Amino acid sequence: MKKYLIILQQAPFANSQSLEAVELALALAAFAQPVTLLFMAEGVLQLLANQDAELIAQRSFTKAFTGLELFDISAVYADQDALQHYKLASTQLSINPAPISSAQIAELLAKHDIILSL
Amino acid sequence: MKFTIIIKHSHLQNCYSALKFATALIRQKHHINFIYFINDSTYIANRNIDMPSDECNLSQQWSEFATAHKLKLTVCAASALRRGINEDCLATGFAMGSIGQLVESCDLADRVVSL
Repeated sequence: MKKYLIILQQAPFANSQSLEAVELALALAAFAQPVTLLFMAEGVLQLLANQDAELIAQRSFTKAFTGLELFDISAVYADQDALQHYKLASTQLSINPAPISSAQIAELLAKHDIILSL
Repeated sequence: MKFTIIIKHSHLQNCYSALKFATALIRQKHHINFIYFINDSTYIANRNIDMPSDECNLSQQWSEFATAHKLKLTVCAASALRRGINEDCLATGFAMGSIGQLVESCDLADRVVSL
């Protein structure tokens, strides 16, 4: 079975791409495909806890992250440089992604068969 | 080699390279088992796109490509419906499809390329 890596690198509510990337990840997992998530660049902002998108008439899709395990998505990584850049402490996040360095990201990419960056 | 192609950008975001890539694959006798339009690329499936005559009509060019090589162009239904693209406005060669079909094709493909 092929291993999928979904790279999320857009801020959560600037456009529909982040929402559609999460939908894609959940759909792949629903088809029993092994899925890993990697948050990079502005994408780490999706991890902020307590975001209420309904205030701006959007769907709070980031709430789905707390239920990723139900979809058997347990491999979740966040680029540690991006976390630092946005000054995000682990206590501010809705889930606990594994912080990952640039060098480790290269290894992570090499371990996956299909890499989709949205 | 067997290729699955995933297209993400609309006709207004310079995604001509995807069509060029697909054309080059055929020319080099590779096999394309699936072409999937997701996110903003689903705009390309709209047959109502009417570009100025001196600009490239990507929608029409994909349709011609699909007809010439007997390929199906599959559009992510969830992405498309969000953008006002429904069954009634699909250009020739395009059809709605699901992630399930994508998974199946990725399984069989030697390479999956997204652009």
